[in-house]
Amino acid sequence: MRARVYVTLKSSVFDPQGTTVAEALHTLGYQMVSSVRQGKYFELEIDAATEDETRKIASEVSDKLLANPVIESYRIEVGTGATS
Amino acid sequence: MKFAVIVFPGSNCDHDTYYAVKNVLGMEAELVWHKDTSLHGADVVVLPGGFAHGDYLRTGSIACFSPIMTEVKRFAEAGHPVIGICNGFQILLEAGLLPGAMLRNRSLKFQCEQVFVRVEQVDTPFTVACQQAQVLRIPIAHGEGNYYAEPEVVECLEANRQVLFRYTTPAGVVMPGANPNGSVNAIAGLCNVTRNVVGLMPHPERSCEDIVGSAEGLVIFKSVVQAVTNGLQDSGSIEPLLGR
Amino acid sequence: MSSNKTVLTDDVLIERHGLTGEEYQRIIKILGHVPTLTELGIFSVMWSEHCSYKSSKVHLQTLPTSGPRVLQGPGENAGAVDIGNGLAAVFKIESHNHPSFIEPYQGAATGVGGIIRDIFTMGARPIALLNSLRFGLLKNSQVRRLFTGVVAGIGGYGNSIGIPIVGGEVGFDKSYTGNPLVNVFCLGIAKVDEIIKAAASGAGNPVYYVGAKTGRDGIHGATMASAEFDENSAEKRPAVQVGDPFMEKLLLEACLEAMKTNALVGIQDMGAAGLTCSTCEMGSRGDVGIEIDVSLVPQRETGMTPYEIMLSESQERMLLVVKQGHEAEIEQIFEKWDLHAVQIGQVTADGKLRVKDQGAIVADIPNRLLTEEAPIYHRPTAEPDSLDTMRNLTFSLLEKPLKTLEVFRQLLRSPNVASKRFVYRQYDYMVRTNTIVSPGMGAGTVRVKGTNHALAMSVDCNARYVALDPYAGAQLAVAEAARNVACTGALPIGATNCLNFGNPERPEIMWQFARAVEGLGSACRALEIPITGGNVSFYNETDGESVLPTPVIGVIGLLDQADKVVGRRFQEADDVVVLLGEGFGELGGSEYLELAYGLIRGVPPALDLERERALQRLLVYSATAGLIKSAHDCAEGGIGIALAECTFDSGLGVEANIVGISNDLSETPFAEVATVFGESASRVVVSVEKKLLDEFLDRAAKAGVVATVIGRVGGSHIRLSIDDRLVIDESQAEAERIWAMALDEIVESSRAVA
Repeated sequence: MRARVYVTLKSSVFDPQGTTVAEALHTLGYQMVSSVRQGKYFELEIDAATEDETRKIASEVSDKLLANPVIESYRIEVGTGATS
Repeated sequence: MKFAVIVFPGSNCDHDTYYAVKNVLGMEAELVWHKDTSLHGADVVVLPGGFAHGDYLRTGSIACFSPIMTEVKRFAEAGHPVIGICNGFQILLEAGLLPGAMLRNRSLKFQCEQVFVRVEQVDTPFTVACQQAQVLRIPIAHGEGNYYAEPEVVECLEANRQVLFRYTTPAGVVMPGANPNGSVNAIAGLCNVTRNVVGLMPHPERSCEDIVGSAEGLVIFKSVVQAVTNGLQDSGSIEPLLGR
Repeated sequence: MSSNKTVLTDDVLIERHGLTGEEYQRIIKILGHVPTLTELGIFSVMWSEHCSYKSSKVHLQTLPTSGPRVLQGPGENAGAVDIGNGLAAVFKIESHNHPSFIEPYQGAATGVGGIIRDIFTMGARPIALLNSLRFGLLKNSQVRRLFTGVVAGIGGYGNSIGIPIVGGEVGFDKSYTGNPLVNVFCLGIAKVDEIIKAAASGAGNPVYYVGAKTGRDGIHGATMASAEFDENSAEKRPAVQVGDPFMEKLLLEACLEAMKTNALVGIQDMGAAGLTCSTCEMGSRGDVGIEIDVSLVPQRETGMTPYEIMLSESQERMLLVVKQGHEAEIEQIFEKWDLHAVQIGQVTADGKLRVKDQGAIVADIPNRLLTEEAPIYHRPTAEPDSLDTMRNLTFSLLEKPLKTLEVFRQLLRSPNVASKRFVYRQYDYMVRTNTIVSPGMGAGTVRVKGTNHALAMSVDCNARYVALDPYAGAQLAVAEAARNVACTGALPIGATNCLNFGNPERPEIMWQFARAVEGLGSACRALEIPITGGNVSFYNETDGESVLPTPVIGVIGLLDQADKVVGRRFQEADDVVVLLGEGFGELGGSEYLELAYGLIRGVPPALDLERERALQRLLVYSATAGLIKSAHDCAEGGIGIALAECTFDSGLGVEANIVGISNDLSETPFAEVATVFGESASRVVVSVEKKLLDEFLDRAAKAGVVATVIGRVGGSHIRLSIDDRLVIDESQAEAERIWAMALDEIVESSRAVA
């Protein structure tokens, strides 16, 4: 099953990359984009029978490796997901 | 006494550190491969700079799972001196041996330049030969040296005197213009609660001979030689367990 | 399935492969039959301009390539010169221009990766990098994007692999707008008896593939899965290779370890034309054949054809020929570094490059003929019509110059002159703790650990001079690079060249090339600097507009005693400032002329190679004897800028008085700017401790070098007089600020506007 993990900087952490992207969008005329946060996206193909099991494993690997809990938080989406 | 310089795939400053310790300081040193499970009787462990594992995922993140890190953690928990330089500092942070994390430099660019750091505490194995408030000229070379920790953690670090080096002007004044990467409280280096594990972003091994620009970083290596030779009690670290 | 089928007649196929009808006939003659698709692909890349040098060979053959120190001249992956103590300096420069326009970061990064491989494939550990870059004008946002992308890419790759970038040059001219130049130089050290050649030998010896998996990166020309060419096929091909410096670092360490065993016969990196070039060249050099099966090649994409596998330019791959019986030894070393060494074939005795796919032969070509029967062209040359006009410089037609002080400030902030700190701050120039002259402080210099020696290096070319007179301009480029090296106290001992020109099928371009190569040769002979290898990049033009002809020269020099190295900065107040050489107020092709009038006109400064040689020898002697404390040559902006540059990063000012020129500009409004900013060649500003002045001047006289005391170091101002009349009086700190911040200001502030 596929798990999608979205890792983002915690809101309290200053994100200079996101800020730079937002400024660049403003100079392109997109003032209505008030803020940008930049993060990471992982697609995990997990050999698990159920959605719960998949979510559990994705959560574990996120804690252990994919996200740094000091500065990052994550959320997980699980689904069979169409092959692109 | 012996230094162990850990070599990860992608480490670049291992040879520079080895050279500084062996050729300049005249100490015994060994390069220890990351897959090794022994520190070969070393008295000091150095995690050198570079791009261990290509800095993939997050800088230092993959390196902490190398087999040698189990030994390094054990060594550190037993109270022995461990220093992480630049990428080595990043690995110690990811491994949880030091608190906090590294973000990208404020400028979003890699920066290679000489900076000045003020020594804040002299009761650790790596600063015992320094003077309080001494200013050292040591180079940085990093893209992710912006030290961050949550406000409560930073407060704790300051209260516990765990901040060892701060970016300053040549005269030793902390100010925004003297902070090259945006680190909170201009922190350039710190230690753990038991004061035996130290991490710093500047490269003291690049500052050991005048011919390459400055020899002011040598005192950091001299300190740990002094500390180990005289017994760690003087430097305020917990007494090392007998035997290793 | 596909709607846009192009019916592939022979003509279309041949053309798409960049071959002429005549070349195609030659292929049929060599093979004895019409080539298979894979064979056609192999010939097309091996006979491409980049791999065969077909337009340039006849000219390059005239260059001086031998000398008492030369261990390896052109023909291998890099050149090598003996530096004593049983060691060799292995070095070369290469270009990656077109990919950098398409994708600046990766184009530049893979350029760095490629040249590094060329060095370590010879058994040398790379210890320093330089780069020579050219861009259009920075007010153009597209140019800024290229500039920042290229610099980031070079830094990203070099920093990650841990090789210091110790210097280089960056130039701006509108002719480079659509054709940036990215030339990367690398220097490595090897033990003389451990230099490894890229030649296969020993029938039966296994051929190994090591490194990254092969994908469809960088395949040029038609990609055909089934003799159809349509839009879908184009999508499969990424135009630019993506580099992985971490992979290269592993490869570098593993290869150097493997080379220390006795198990290797030969090794070559897979660069341009990937597997094709490496197999065919290794076989050809060893006069043997190589047979491989592409189905054994590690692939990261599915469904790759033999054609694609042979032509792929995926990065970070090496080809090894191993001694039979020593396979396990080699495999173990690569396993340690988590790399896989895979046997894909073996050396044969029949001299053929034989490619199989699951046992079936898809290409069978006589190796030697593939390399030696490559076409050689004597392309027609013709001096450009416009040259006479360009050489005409009539000052009376130009507006009067601004005040000299104002010109001074403008020059300090012009991108060609301003500090390049914006660039090199992004490069780790200290890793390996060998750097004793950093970027911006003089020619990059690194010590050689384990000896007392140091190696200085510089890449240079003033393309304006070359445009005005290719022969003289190329000579001046050699002189400048060697002079920069000599200023550190190092004796120039070898050179490499990267020749960047437009379309060689145009006689005017070919004329520029031919004349430039002649000039290169004559200067290298006069200065006794052999050329050990290099690169040619043609077709740097867009819509018929070519770049300025830019033959970049890289020179390396040997300092016997590293601690005697001399930098460009003034050291102490009251030191005497001495000008070596003479100024004749030559403004042809100068930065001033371009800045004030937007012109590239006139003739380049005159060059007397004997005088230049004497000057360089004097500098080397003086450094060893400890007679001088700083040395810096006069280049763009002449002596006015050179003096200012000597004060930067020193905290010291200068007071100098120079003699006014006496030529046809003397009585004109241009006399001052010509004196101060004229770019006469063979001039160096040195500073000397007072008590050593007499000895130094004496030495200069004996060497036949004109030496004039012009002032002293000190004060907080830059003060320059002509015949005792003050023409520049500027705060040293202010001048430095203008110079140091100029590029940052242009790039950062323009970002907000664009």
